[in-house]
Amino acid sequence: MSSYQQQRVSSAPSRTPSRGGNKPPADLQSLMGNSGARDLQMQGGPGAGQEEMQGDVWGWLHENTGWSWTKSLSDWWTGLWGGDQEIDTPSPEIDTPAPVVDDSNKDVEVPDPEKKQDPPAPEVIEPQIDRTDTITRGMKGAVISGGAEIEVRDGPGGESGVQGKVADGKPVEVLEVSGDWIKIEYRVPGNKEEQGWVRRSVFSDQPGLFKDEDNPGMMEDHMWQLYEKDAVLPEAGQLKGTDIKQGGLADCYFVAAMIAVGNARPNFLEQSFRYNESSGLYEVRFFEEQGYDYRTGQSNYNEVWVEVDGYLPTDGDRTAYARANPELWGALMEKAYAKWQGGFDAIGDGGYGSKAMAHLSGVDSESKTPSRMGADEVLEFFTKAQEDGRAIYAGTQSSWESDKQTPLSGSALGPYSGSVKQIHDWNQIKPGTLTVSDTGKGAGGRARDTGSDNAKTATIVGGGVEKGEVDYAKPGSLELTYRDGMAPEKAEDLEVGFRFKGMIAPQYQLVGWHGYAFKEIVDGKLQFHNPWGSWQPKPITPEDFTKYFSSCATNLVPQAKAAEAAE
Amino acid sequence: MADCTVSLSPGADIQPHIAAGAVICLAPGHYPGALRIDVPVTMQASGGATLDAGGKGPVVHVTQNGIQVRISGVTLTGGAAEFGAGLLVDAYAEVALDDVSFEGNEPGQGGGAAIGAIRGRLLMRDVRASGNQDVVLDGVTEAAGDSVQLTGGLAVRDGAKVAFKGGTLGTVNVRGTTTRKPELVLEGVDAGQVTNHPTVPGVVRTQP
Repeated sequence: MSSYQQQRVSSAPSRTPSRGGNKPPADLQSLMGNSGARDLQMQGGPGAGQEEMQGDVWGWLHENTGWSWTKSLSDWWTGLWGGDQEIDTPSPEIDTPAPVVDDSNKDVEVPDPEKKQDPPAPEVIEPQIDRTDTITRGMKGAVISGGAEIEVRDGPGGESGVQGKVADGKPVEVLEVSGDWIKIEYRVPGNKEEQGWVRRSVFSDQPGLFKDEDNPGMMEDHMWQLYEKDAVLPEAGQLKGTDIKQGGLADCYFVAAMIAVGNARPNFLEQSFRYNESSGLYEVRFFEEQGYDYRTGQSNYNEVWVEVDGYLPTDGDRTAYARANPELWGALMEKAYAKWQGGFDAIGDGGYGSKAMAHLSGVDSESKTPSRMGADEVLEFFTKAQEDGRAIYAGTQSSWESDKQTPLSGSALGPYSGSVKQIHDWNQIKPGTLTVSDTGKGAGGRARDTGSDNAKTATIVGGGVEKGEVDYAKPGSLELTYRDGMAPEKAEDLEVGFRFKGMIAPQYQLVGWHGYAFKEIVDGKLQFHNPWGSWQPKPITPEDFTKYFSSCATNLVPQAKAAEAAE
Repeated sequence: MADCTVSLSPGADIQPHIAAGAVICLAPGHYPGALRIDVPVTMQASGGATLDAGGKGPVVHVTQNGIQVRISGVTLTGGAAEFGAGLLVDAYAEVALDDVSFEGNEPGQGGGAAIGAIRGRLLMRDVRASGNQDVVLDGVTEAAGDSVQLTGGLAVRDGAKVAFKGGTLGTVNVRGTTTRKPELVLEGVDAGQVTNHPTVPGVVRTQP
């Protein structure tokens, strides 16, 4: 929390204050109400005519500015704000804004936290809800039939010709809606898409699947399949963070966050699931940050309950994305997260673990920069965090520096050729980081590759090189010639260095650009958990933690509510 | 430029000089980055100063609520972080950037090679980020830009509120959630393709 020292300055009202408010406003935004004002002027004491002190800040007393009220005098408030200032400002009616909910979308319910939820109906009425009246163009989902193949017609209506069939659970996108019929698009083998008409009653709204540009055929294999309640909900009191593992989606940040929160407070995470017996639908809880409360030093979060059914995308006989290990609740939570955030595409291209933990806990995460920590500080930090019951997430460096190598052979002006040695099968040269340095008496200097991002090959330029090329494909072959007068004295003088991606620390089995959940301290070393559920890293020394990790965040997940209150 | 309280030469570690109210002046040259800022501070250079994180985290990470940070006349490079490699703002702070360039920063899966922010208020003037130096304004971030050159791509997500006046943007992606929409206002901006998410769109307003 910020520390706020007191210093009296002034604030002149930027609008006519409302009368009668004698409670401190929640924040500057509520003070400003609907006036349209975004900034407040300040003055050194209550009443008109005081010296203005807006000074050199850039609208610092903005609606989101740090604010803590201390006392009132007539129509004026005195408070502390984040810039070591105490100010007076007019006291208005209290008007704490209601949580912002987009009424145009009915998929997500934001319940009144004060209002008790209706108890579930005692008997199962229908396993599915008919939501076909809400089907609109562009909607993603699946066609569901309970097992049978579904006929696809060439026009809307039963009289139209049957052009083909799709399997139960096939992912589709709605192109048109016409009465009881919808035009769908779906993928077929050969990286193609087909279109046709089906009855709208077979459509089930689902989050859009992840499209891998490098592997577009992947989606052909994904089908939506219904999993029973027992398979997807954690057994009471039995949830463990490590119940889940990451699947074919680049959301290690989210899966690792689930594991970290589940490890820290399993009962809290267990209360993030509700099942409606009457509808057969699940609700999954997340928290949406609204702003900052400068009185408590915490962000404000609203609960968001996302409603989903038990269909999960599958790849063969297992779920395609988050997988059971052995429990599937993580896959359901991942699906709900995808629905909230706009689809698996939206969450499957990376994210920020710190924010993901806050989405799960409703509490801000606190971050550390590993490279700025000393080894003693690391151990102390993790010990304390573990004692406090914090969820801990850490992300690794993207790449690592190779040892200098002299793999090239050749003579005179060249060509010099050879392949660099990788320290692990997974590793790849990070384009744009390779250098070839003449460390001998030759006139050539330091050449470098010109690759960027996902390049397969690149030229090598500079350092007296006439022509050079690197093929990044494993193991990374080089060939280069030198200009007249710039040749190395001998091939062994040409020293090659690069940064590599993949297994950045084989001695720890530590993967680069990956999110991990912290597990425990073992003999003074840090044991992390790989969300893959495999390739678990070996305990890492605090010193090496500061080298190989680039981010770290902890989250003080709340205690679970008492069972009676939760109900 | 504000009066300097600390003047540093190239190679100096800036971190120990980050103190409340400090005005740190940087002579042209190279400085180690991976700075954590948790107090109000100003870092300024008249040009030619580069902060390089050397792949050890964000170049600048603003971590403390309620502070004001000003950075001007510098280039931020060498950052490598899961999110926000050049500048990471995850606190309710006000960060003013003036004449700042982003080069050679590498984000992780979260994006934001140049800038990643989930909270706070960003004020940008003459900020330049090209190539793959994208900017991600997420969460409850508020941002305003004047004459920015963000051709590396811009993403506006979740509940962020962003307004740019003048300048150039590369591709722009806007994506909300099912519970709220981000807002993007472009006035007199030469922007590339603006893509608004079909399922969870934001509110985009453009004016010539």
